[in-house]
Amino acid sequence: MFKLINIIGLSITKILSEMGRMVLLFIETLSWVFRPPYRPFLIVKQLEFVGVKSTLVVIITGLFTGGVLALQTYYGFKMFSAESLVGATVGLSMTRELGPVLTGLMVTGRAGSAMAAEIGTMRVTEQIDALSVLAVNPVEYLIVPRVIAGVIMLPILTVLSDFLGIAGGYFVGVNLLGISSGAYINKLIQYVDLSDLYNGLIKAACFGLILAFVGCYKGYTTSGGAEGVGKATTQAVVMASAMILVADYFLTALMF
Amino acid sequence: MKKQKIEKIAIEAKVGIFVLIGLIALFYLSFQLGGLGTELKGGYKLYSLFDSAIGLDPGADVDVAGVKVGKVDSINLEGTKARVTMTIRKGVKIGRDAAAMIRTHGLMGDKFVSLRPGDTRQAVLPPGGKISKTIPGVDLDKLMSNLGDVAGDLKSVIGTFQKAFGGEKGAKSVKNILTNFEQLSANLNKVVSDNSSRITSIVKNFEEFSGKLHRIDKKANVMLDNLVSVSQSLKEGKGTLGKLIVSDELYNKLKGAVGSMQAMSDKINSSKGTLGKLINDPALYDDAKETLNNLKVITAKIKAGKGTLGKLVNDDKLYVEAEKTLKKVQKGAEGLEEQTPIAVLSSVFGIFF
Amino acid sequence: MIRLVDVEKSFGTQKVLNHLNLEISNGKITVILGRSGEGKSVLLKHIIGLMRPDSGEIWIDDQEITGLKPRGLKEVRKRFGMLFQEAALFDSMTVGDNVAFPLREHTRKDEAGIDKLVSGLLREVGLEGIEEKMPSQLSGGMRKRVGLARALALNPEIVLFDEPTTGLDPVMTDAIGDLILETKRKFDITAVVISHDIALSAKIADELAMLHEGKIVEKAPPGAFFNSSVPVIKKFVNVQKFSLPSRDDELANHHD
Ligand SMILES: Nc1ncnc2c1ncn2[C@@H]1O[C@H](COP(=O)(O)OP(=O)(O)OP(=O)(O)O)[C@@H](O)[C@H]1O
Ligand SMILES: [Mg+2]
Repeated sequence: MFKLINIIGLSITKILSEMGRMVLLFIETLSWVFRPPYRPFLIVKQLEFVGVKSTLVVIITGLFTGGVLALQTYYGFKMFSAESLVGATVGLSMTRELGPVLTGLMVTGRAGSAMAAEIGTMRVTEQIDALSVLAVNPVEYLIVPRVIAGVIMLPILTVLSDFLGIAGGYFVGVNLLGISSGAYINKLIQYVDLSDLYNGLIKAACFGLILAFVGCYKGYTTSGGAEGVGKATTQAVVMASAMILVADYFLTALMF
Repeated sequence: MKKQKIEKIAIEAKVGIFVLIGLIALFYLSFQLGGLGTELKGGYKLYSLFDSAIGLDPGADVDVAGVKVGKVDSINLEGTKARVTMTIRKGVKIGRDAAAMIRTHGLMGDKFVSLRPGDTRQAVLPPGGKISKTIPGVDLDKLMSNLGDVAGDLKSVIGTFQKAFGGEKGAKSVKNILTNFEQLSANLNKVVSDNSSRITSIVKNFEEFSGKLHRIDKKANVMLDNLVSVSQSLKEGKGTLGKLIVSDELYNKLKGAVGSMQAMSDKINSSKGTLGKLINDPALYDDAKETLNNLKVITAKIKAGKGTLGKLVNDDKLYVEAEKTLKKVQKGAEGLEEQTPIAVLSSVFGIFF
Repeated sequence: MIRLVDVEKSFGTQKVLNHLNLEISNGKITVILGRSGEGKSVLLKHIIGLMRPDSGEIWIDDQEITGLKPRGLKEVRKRFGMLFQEAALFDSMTVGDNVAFPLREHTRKDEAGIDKLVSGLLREVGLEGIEEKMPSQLSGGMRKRVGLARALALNPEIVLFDEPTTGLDPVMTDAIGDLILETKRKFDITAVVISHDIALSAKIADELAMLHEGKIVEKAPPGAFFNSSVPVIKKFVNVQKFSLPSRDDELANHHD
């Protein structure tokens, strides 16, 4: 009995102290965003890594998500003979939810994990210590460019995903299922507001912040050699994905 | 390190192209989705007070003749009514006598405001104007609840019916009702055909009456003529009466007589007395008119060969047959004068159908 | 002068530094000896502020560094150079960029000047013309020498060497010894060298110190140190001395 209480207490303090460390690191990261030295080239490099190199993944997920949405909703709407709403459904789902969330999750898997692995490796091979010794702040040098890249690139990737999702839905709905193209486009334009698109992009920026920061945090606090790096990578993906979904709920509740 | 510089430029270019593509996609989507939004920018506002704006959301469409012309901006409570403010696209004119209505796309679709723009040739609503006429939309919730009530009523009615007609006994009674109904209609038919002679006589009487009235009218004319000649001779001071006119006494008496005559005519006017009623009571006229109408219908029917009588009149074959039959029957039926035609017809019908 | 006063450090229940006291004189080469896992690397990281003691004071000249904020610590670190035990090269950069890193961060030299300095530093550690190679393409010994070049790039006042010759062949070991002596002579540096190599220690050390069970059990100039009566030192010295005459070649490879 006493042991149980002890274990519970220990795990709670562990969780709380981890949260505390995260918050402190986050504050430190933020404090470096608007302070020199600015590192444009490091940011560009991360923009390339987070954004350009995620293009293929986003193209595939966007196109096929839009396509499958059209396919699924078509049969549902057909029962009410409201097939013309397929476009609106695809547009709303993509811009509000699936565009940002799926892009967030895919980039977490691709870039968030890589960040954790890269920084984790640097931690266990003392490269982060080396940075400190060379009088360069590792948070400013490693974490800030990645977080900035995440915040900038996720909305752009999400726009591509939205666009391709709508295109995929169009192809399936109009070319394969025979919905009239006017109905698809007009209903989409009628029901999807500009605010849906923009709120989705704000979400995406938040997801970019989450995935980049969690990846960096997990890497930065890695210990235990190569095994520790593996663990950190897995944890980063799990934690960032969960946080994205939780944040998605609250952002949705807040915005729509 | 030169190699690195080239690589650096390549990365920057890639990122640049990527961001450019992203921005193009963003602008394209924004442009498409915000199409009407920018179109409404130069628009003007109108509002309307509805008893209920249930289900209507800000951002809902406003249309005229099914063409989207604007959007609902806000919905607020003003007193006990819903004030719906909308933005109308520039160039769309809404008349002062316009009417607004909240409608629904399909059975389950979105609510939107439909405007009947009224007469836009003269008085057009200015920006900020009020569309004062509102047509309450079909409240689907109410409709549903009414439908529910109706369904409930129907159920109870059916229940009663079931109770009343359920089982063998019920079926029997239904049968009885139907038979009664059949009989009733037969009787009705009979009454109409039986009374045809009477109706004719009523009309005849009426004709006579109006003829008499005409004659009365003639007599009155003669009377008036006499009166004119009398008054003429009076004017001329001919005879005793003429001489007496100067006398005040006689004048007063005459005045009194005229007064009582006026009262009499008033009485007649106000439908008092038999004559008054005859002249003023519209019921009689209506009755007569109705009777005439009925007669017209009946005669038309007869003409068109509808109904037994009509057939009897128009169908030669039937006529011949009927004549034969009638002749045969005539003798035996003399005591039952009134029932005969029906009986004959029934037998005729029996032959033909 | 570097002065550690009553420094204590534990990892969990393991006490690594136990009331340790040590003074390192300016302008001298101090070699710290000790068995593997005794805490030599930990001691070095305390000196440069990468680790904070549980208790005790660490003085760099007249500045106490355990209570310093990151900004103050950064200024202190600019006076230091450090060679990590595993070199800790940034493996996302070329060798040239690794060596140029401190120059780019803390000097205003143009690229041409930096290029010249880098190739000069690499020549000194015997690795001319490998600027374009990636660290992963180098052997352990080469990495260590690149790390050394990077540590010396800014002409630091104090240089900390964590096992500079481990993994090097005897000829190279000797050359690194010469390099350290040369640097000291040219720039009048204070050097702290951790080594297991008695021969190298004897060659370069002005002072020798023995770390045992969390304490400095002996600190003396070479003559006195090698004749010390402290059992650990006796054992440590004797094991290598016996092997010296007959198996000279294998010395460097078998010491650990
Ligand atoms: N970050 C750390 N977390 C936990 N324990 C540590 C950490 N760093 C070092 N230790 C422990 O401290 C002890 C001393 O480690 P250190 O690296 O200083 O040894 P060392 O004397 O440098 O050995 P070697 O000669 O093999 O390099 C070791 O037992 C190690 O397990
Ligand atoms: Mg060590």
